[in-house]
Amino acid sequence: MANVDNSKKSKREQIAANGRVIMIVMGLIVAGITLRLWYLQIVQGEYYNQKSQDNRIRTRRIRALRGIITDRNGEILADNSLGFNLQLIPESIDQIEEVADLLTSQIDGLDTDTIVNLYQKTPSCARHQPLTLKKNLNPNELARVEARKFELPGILIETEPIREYPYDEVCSHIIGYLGFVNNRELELPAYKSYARDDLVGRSGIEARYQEYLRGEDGQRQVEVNARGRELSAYTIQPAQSGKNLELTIDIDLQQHAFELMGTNVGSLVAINPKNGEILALVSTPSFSNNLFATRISTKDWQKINSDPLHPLQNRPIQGCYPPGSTIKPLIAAVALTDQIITPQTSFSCSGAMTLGNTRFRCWNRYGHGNVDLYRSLKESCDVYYYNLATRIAIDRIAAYGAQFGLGQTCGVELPEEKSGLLPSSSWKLKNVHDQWYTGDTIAICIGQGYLTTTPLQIAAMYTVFANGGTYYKPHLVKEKNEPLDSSSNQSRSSRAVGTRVEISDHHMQAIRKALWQVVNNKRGTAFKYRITIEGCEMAGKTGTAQVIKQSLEDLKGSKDIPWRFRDHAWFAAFAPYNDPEITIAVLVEHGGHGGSTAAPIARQAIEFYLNKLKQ
Amino acid sequence: MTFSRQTPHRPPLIDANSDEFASLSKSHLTELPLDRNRLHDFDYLTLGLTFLLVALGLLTIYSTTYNPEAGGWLTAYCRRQATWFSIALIVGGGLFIFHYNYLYQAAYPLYGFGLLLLLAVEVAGSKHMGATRWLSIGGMNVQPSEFAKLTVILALARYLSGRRLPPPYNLKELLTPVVIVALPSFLILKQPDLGTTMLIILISGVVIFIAGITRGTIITITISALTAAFGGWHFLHDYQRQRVLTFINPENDPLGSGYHIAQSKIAIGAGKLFGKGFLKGTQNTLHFLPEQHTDFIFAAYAEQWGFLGTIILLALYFAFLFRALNIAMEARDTFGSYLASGIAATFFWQVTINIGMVSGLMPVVGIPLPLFSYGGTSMLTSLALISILLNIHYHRKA
Repeated sequence: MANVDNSKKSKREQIAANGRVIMIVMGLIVAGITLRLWYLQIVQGEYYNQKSQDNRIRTRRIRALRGIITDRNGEILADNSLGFNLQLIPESIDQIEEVADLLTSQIDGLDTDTIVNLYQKTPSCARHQPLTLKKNLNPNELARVEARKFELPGILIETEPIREYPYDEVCSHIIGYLGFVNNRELELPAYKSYARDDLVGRSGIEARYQEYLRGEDGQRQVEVNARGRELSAYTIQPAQSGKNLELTIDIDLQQHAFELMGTNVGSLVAINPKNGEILALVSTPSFSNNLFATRISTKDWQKINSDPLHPLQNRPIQGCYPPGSTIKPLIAAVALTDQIITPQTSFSCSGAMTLGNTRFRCWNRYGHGNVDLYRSLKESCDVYYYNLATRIAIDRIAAYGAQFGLGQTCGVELPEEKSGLLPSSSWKLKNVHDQWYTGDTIAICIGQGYLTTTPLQIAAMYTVFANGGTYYKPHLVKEKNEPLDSSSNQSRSSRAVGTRVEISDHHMQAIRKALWQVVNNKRGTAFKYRITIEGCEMAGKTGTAQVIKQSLEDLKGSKDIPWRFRDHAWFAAFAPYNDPEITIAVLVEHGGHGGSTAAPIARQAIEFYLNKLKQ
Repeated sequence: MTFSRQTPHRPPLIDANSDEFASLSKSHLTELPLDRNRLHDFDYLTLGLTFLLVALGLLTIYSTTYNPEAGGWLTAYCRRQATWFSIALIVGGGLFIFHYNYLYQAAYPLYGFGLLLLLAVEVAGSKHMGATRWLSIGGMNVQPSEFAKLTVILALARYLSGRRLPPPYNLKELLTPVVIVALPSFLILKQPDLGTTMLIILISGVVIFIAGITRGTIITITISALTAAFGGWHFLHDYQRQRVLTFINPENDPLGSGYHIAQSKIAIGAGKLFGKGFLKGTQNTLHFLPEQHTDFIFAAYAEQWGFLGTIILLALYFAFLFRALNIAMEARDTFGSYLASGIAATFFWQVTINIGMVSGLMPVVGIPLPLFSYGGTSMLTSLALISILLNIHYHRKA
């Protein structure tokens, strides 16, 4: 070190010596820095180069548009429209309180504290990412935000496709609704291709055809700056929109039927008897599936969920009711086929029949006198069917009933269809642990007892009477749509052909004639609601399903009975009689007598549809 | 290796405490500042290097603030920096007229004024990002620590050169210089501004070393500095500790405080050998690089020009520093010699700390790259220092 013997050197020499030491130190430090730069730029250069690419290039998802659902005439039932979301970019805002106050004053459902809180909680690394304050602004709110855009830096409007249902509650049970995929589902292998914030069908066609309607998300690469702003983008893989789906529904009929049902609680099912296509499937009360299109509010959800009438229930396929007298044509068909009776065989009705110790009443306490097949249906005599019940084995009814689609799901393209119950002796042994009694058959033959059916099953059953003997599986989706998978492919081909029921043609014609008389004979139970237009004559059957035991029915007049104890009203019909175009089944819960509540609805729906066909 | 050529005809170094110095000072006060016959005494090399570095700096500032949508052939930052450079040239030129011996006379008063400003910051300074560093004078924000840095060098040079006691000094004899350094350092540390404090101590160390200290003192200071570094940990502010921790392991918190270092290293590394090319650095143009036209400008430069570019820049700085130290060795008197080494040390430590910081060798302390980074204060101070350096060189022959 140069400064040791400084005293012997001149001052200049001392300084020069010390300066040299400093120069060497500087040289070493600069060499060290050079080495560092060599390491970063030459040794690790490629690694850092890749990192700089990763920094700016990101892959983003392009959301596929969901397939559109239309009715049989191409009328749109489920569509995609643009939703406008209100967003806030934290890093672009200095005075959050002012911005929050301004927004709160312009837009409903926001409050200053929540916004400020959200703003403050955002970690610094995410401050460039927009926060969604409110989804799906209405046009008024949108206009107010747009008008104040200059006062609101850092506030932006993002567009997003949202599902829209133009017919809302008219067919919300058929179409269903969407919901966000939840965390639990995301862990399941079936949801492998889903991401957070994806919507999936939660009920109806939307749920059943989720994969078909969904489409395939695309990908694009974007160049972003440090704030995450997109500078340029190019598509690697375009999004593939979901496939469109055409339903067999006639939305005009559906809407008219929905209006006809009014405040009644119940179902209306209309089927084309020539091929099993469902023309209308109404369930009341209904709900607005548009409420689910964006996140449904807790208030709305509670309102729907706590409604004692269960509006979410899809009654035509999920409501299991005793069929009441609407089952009688089937019983008669079984009796005819098994040669227990001929159409002319008559039984005497005195207002009741006694079997053992039990007295089974006819609805007409004064009795019908001598009753043959035609009168039994026309006037719906119960005693006639009690007599049949003592002669038919329950398992014969079960066998024929199955051919008409009872006791099993129809296989309609909706989730959670119920099968109802078509009892047999073995069923009772297994489930009630008791043998089958004639008394049980008596109840079955007037559509009570263990027997339950869905309105869809009744409608499907009457299509067999309408077309003269062919059972078509009722279906909602048009043939020409691609099948969902191989298993449904099979059911589709069989549903197109239909299956013949084992009822001979002349027996079928006898029953059809009887059903014509129900409506068109002066003494028929539905004579009041006949269709008088030439060539449009209707045939059908009324039904009254008891909700409680007969004893209470002694109360005079249905007006004195509390609503929930009143009978369910049925009416099943088809028209025109000679060449049926439509089969209809109407059920009004607690509607009293079928002839007075359900039949007028059915008649008007049929008239509407036949009028439409004529045009 | 000979860094300074000691030619036989060089006059002996004049002690600033001698009568000769006093009389010379008086005679020079009446001398014409510039003489047509002495133009060859002017240091064109240092001035040339200065222009070259500033020009490269302007080019890089242009690339870091360039916005293709805005158009125009110069960015606003570029224009402002050029303006500051012009002002600084005028100020430096003005300073050059006066013999640096004036500074000998003014050293203590200026030092006192610097302390006063620092005290004023303590009392009435404006707070910005958790630190009180600025004084608002007539709408302009002044950072007194920059000025204090200069006055400490002056006071040290003044004291050491005016001292009758010959070097080398031991620890006891260094008490006064230590106090001269400690007073402003303490006030600046309180602001808190760890970077400038460190810088002042490092610069002063070089000046004292040039003046001469005993070997025992060097060892003692090294040991106590290390002890203080560990003990000082407890007195650091949270953000300072965070910076040190982040420096040790930047990947720990890649989007928080480690973000700056991580992005800066990516920018430098991505330049590879030849660089991405002018205006083609994505780290820079897409703003992944923080403070890209001020403290982190070196990273933006490195991304565009690669290892070759950084080597050239380092070579320019090294040549500049080499020249500055030579001026110190060839100065006419001890005051000029100490002052010049203080100026050389100022540039050296700033360059070292800045490049060390952006390349991940040191914690982030917020020291700009002199002559290169955008900023008026830094440009003014740098050119004032260079002007003094040229002044010392111009008057080297008595």
